Amino acid sequence: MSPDATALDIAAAVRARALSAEAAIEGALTHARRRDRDLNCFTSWFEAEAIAQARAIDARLARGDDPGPLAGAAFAVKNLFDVAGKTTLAGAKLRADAPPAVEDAFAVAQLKRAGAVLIGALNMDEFAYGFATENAHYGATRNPHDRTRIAGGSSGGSGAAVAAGLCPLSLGSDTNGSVRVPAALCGVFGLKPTFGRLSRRGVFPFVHSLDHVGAFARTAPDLACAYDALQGRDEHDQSQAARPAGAALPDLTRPDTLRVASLEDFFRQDASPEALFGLDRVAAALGAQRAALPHAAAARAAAFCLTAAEGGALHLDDLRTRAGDYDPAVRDRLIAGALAPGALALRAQRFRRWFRDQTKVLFERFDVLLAPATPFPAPPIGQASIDMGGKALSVRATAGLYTQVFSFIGLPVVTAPVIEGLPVGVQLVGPPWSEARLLRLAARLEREGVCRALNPSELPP
Amino acid sequence: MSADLEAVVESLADALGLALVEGSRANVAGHLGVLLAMAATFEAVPLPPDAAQPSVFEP
Repeated sequence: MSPDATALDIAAAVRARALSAEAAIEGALTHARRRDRDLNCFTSWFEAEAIAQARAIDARLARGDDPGPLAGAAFAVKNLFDVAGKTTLAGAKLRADAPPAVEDAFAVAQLKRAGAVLIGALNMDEFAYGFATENAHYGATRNPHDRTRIAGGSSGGSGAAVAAGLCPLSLGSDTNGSVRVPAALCGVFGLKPTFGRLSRRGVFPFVHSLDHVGAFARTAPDLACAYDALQGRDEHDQSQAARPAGAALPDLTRPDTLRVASLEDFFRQDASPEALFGLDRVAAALGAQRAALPHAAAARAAAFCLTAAEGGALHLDDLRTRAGDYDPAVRDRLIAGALAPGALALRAQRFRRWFRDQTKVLFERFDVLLAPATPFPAPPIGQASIDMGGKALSVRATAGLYTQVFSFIGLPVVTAPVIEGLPVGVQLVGPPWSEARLLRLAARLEREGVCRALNPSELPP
Repeated sequence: MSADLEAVVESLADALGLALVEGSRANVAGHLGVLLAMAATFEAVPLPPDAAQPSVFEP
């Protein structure tokens, strides 16, 4: 099928036996391998396993069994997800000699169970600490909209691969914005669910207090279908909330009457004209009011400190013995976090609970909050800093300025693309456990032409 | 301040058994300075006494 085909298009053709899963995956692999030469999204290919899985799907269909709602659709995962028999790199050279994973991460297994076929692993910032995917060991992932620019990070390979049609679905992780930033810069839809919604088992950790599993797709229905597949109780993940699954796809076109607010102050003051254009376009389409979220800057700062402290603590042993194997830019941030006073992280956690309660008050007046996903569209590869408010700030650290506020308190967010020139993203933020409603809103914005990812055939060759 | 912080970084790193590679000390001091400045941002928000430290420990 064409690289423009969605996951649901492919699955419909496979389930109707108009196309074999094997042919779908062979075609996907051929296209992805050719196109990736210019983009550097993939760090590993799982061709033999993918073809074997596709043949198994065809065999199930031949027996009259249901192969799942994503039958024959290719997907790929950020290389911090465990894949049975493969080494989990987490973007790091010092993981290259780690033993292979014994079993698939829960999220990988769930997508396979739904019939999606894993074709490879994707590039990322080392240990997920960055927003650029300019990896010192595995190279920079290039943005399919302009290959001189970054894809965003840390799940940059995941965002770029979906944008370019290398696969219609991908998985990423989001600690501070690592799904939402690359989704925005690559012009696709991204989902960071509520903290605790999806199992994290088999995902290399970064910050236990903040890590989420998320997904990318070019359309809202594909994203909703992937989200539905990813849900499910994992008795082995103590961080997962004991909540019933809430399917999104069946009600995706159901109309909602929503009270929407576009956030001001912190979320506008350093935003580029492109980011504000995207935000205001979505706000106008939804008749959004304006609202303030007090102490957002402090929340972002607390997330920043908590990340450094927990990340530094996690890596302390390797920093003692193998510091030379780290990307220097990541290493020095982790060391600073390890040296920071412990009281700083404890105070950030205390602030976190209070800020969560303050934000709940806002959700008594509004169902959805809007904010830019990033302060700027994709900067050029190699650009270390960017001018914001007269200050030169690190691209690697600042692209998540507006995303960190919401992951800090675990709120669900869908990032929806607005493309006029370089893509930007708008965060649709809801109260805990409102993923289905946010996906419905994303689908509505897509149907109305407000937010739409480009087809791969519309991108520069 | 920067030189002071670099000296603190060197001392703390040594105490934690971290060997700083060449050029790293100033970078780490810069990052630590950013963290301390960020901490001041949320420390400046007055929290009520009942804003308790959340516990995730469940015996």
